[in-house]
Amino acid sequence: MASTTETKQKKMLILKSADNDEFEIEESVGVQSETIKNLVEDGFTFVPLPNVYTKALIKIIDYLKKHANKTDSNDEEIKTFDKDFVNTTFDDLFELVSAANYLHISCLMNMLCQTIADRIKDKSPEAVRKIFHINCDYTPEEEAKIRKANAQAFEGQFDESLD
Amino acid sequence: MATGEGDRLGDLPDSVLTHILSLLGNGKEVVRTCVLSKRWRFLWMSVPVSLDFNFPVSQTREATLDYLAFIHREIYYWRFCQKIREFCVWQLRYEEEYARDVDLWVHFALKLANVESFTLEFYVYYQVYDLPQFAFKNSFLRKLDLWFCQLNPSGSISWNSLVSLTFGYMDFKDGVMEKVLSGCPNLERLSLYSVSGIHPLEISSVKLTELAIDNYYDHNNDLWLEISAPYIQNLRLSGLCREIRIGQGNLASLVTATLTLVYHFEDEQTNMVKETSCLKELLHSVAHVENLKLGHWCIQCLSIFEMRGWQFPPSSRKFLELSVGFEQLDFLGICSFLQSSLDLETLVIKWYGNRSSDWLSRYTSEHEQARRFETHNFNCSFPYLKTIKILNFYGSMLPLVKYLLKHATVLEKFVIDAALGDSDVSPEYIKIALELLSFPRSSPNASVIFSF
Repeated sequence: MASTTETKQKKMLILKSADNDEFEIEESVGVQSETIKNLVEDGFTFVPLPNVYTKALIKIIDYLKKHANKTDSNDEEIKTFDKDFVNTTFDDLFELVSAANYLHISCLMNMLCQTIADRIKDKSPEAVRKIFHINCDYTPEEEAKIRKANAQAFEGQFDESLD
Repeated sequence: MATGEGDRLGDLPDSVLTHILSLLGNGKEVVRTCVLSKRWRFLWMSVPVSLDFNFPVSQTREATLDYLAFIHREIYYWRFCQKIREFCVWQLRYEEEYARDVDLWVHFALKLANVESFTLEFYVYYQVYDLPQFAFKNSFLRKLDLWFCQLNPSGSISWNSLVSLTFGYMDFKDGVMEKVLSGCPNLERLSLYSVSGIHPLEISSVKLTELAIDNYYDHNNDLWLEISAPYIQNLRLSGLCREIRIGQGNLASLVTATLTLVYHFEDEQTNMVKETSCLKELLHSVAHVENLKLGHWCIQCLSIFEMRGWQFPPSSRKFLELSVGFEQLDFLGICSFLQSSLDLETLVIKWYGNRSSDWLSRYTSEHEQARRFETHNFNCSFPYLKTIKILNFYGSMLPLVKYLLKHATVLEKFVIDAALGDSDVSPEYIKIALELLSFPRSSPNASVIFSF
C-alpha cells in the first residue's frame, strides 16, 4: 500500500534537450533548478531546454539526483561525487557552466566557477587564451600598450600548461 | 563575429565570466585578463575585489616609505574598478608624518570606492592617528575595524549601514562612544579590545545584540565601565579587566554569556576581595541566561566562593560550558556551582591542561580539596541534565565523573573525548576507562561514549 501511494504522489517532469532528447525526472529533483522551478510553479510538466545539450544534461541530471538525496550521513559520498564531477576537461566544464547558468542552479554554478578559477590560477595569458579558445583581436602594438599600462599585474612567473 | 567560432567562452554571458573572475582570489590575476582580447579589456573592472595591504614585518623607515608608495600606486590603479568590497591596511607603525597618506586611504575607501568593509590596524603606536572628520559620515560601510586610532568627531556621527564595529586599543574621550552608538542605528555587533575611557556603555538599540569586550582598563581607577544593554543577547567578556560592572536587570534579553575574563586590580592588599566580589556581582547579573560559558579564572573563584560558604544565586541556565584548568582543586567549586544550575540540560567541560594555580593554592591545597570533595555530601540531583561532554579527558578527572554519573538522574549521553591524537590507546587509559564504566549511574538510560 505504502509503495503505491508513494508512486502516485511522485510528480514527474519531462526535460527536452537542445538535441531533442527527452528525460523523465522527479519534480522534486528538477526544482533545484530555479528555471525549472519557475516553470513548474506555472503548471508546466514538459520543459524544453533549447540551450542545454544532451551530454551536459545527462551529467546535470546526475548531479541533481545526487544532491536531492542529501542527508547528514552521505556528506562524504556527495563530496566524492562532486570531486569526480568537476574532474573533466575545460571544454566540458564550459559546457556545464553554460548549462548550469541557464538552469539557475546556484550551488552547481559556484562549484563549476570555483573549479575553473582554481585551474586557470597563475596561468599565463597565452595559456588562458588557448584554454578558453579566445582569439586575440588586439594588434601586437595594442597588446604591448595594455601590458605596459598594467605592468604591475604582469610581474612574476606564470604557468604555461594547458591542463 | 569578432570572437571566432572556437571561442567557447563567447557563449557565456559576462555575468558568468565575472563570477569566475571573482573567485580567482588575487586582484592581479583578475586584472591580467584585460590582455586576453578586446572583450576582456574592461571586464575585470566589474569584478568585486578586496584590497588587503600588510606592511612588512621588519619596518625600517625605508621599507615603510616603499610600502606606502606601493599602496598609493595600487589605489591609483584600482580607482576605476566598479566594486571594491573591502579595504584593509594592517600593521603600519604609525608616525605623524604618515597622516596625509593614511587620510588618503580613508578617503579612497570611504568616499571614492564606497567599500562595505574597512580595516585600519596600526602596529604599536607612538603617535595616534586621528580619524579625519569626513570619515564620520558614510552610508556604505557595513563593517568597520579600527585599531590604535583616535576618534574626535566635531559633529555627530552617521554610519547608518554599519552592522559590525570593532575598536582595538583605543582611548575614548567623554561622549564619543555615545556619539558612535547613536550614529549606528543598524549596528548588530560591537567588539571592544583593550579600549578605555568608556564610562557608561548604554546600548539602547534593539538591533545591537552582540557585545564583546576583551581587556578593559581605565587610567582612572575610580571610574567604572557600567554596562546597560537591555537588548543584548550575546555577551562575551574576556581578557584582563579592571572596571567592568553590570547593573542588576541591565541585561534583560541576554541568552548567552561567555565569561573568560580575569579581574585584575593592582593594589595587592585588597585585590582578592575586590576581584572576587566583582565576579560575584557579574554572576548575579547573568543568572537568568540560558547558556553560560566560564573560563578558568572564574572557575577558580567558584572554589573560593565555596570555601567561604557563599551561595550561588539560583539560575535558569540550560547550557553550561566550563574551561577547567586545575582539576582537583576546582571540583568543589564546580559542584557547588552546579547545585545552583538545576535546570541544566547540557554540561560541557573542557580541560585545558594544568595552569599554575598560584593564588588558589594560597588558600588551600590540592590534597585538602580532594579530601573535602571525597567527604562532601551534595544532596541534589539534576532533573534535566541529559548530555555531558568532557573534552581532553584526563584520568584525574575521575572523581568528578563519578559525581556526575551519580547525580544526573535522567542522563542520556556522557561523551568522553580523550584527545589522544593518533597514538594507540595505552593500557593505562583502558584501566581508567574500565574504572569509569564501573561507577554507579543513577540514570538507567545513560550511555557512556568514548571518542578519540
